[in-house]
Amino acid sequence: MPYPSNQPRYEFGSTDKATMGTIANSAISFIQKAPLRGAYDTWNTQINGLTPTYKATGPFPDKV
Amino acid sequence: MIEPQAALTALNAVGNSDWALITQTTATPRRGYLQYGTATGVYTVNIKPDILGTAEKQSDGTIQYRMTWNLPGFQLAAAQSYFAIVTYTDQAGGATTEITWSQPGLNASASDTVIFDNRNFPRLAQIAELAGRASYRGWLSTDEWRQFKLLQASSAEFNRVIWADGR
Repeated sequence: MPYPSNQPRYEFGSTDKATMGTIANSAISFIQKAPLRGAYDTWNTQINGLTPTYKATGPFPDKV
Repeated sequence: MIEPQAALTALNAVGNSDWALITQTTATPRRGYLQYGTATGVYTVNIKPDILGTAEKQSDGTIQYRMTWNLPGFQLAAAQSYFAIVTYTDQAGGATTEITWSQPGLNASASDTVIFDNRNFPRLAQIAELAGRASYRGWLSTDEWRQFKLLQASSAEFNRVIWADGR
């Protein structure tokens, strides 16, 4: 069931959207091969550095 | 009657070790959780759920109630100071004064290998799925974002590190 367009959500800017892609790719690579600590630390830093914007009231478009 | 906060004692990690033992004793049983971080007054880690002190008979015959936290996983490159308080969640509330301890450096290196426990692979897959969704459409629902962060935190548990120097 699609998420209602009038419900609160967290939106990501263009930088965070690109970072999310990197985070996803890294997570997959971690499943495929045990990472070095440096890569794992970078991955956690990327996640901790995300700054989504909380939007309380819609309606919202499907994509931003 | 609830006693005033008792002294918080922190036992530093012994020798070349990656764990810390922190205990808190009170004259009456109290319930609380531990918070710690790397700067004074800034606690970035909460150790929950709350625990209740357990009775411990002293040599003079009195009873003290002791909370114990055993913190593993301090695999540090260099020595690091930590700061902690215990926040009480019983009726009297309040918190202890801050204590500090130094955790020894273990020469952790970016070339160490992180071995994920099997139970973390489903979490990593979910993280990838949620991150891919956020990257594609630019947003996550409040539940998705909360789950994403929880998965990140929980995936840090149970991991094992093979040190670059063979330890």
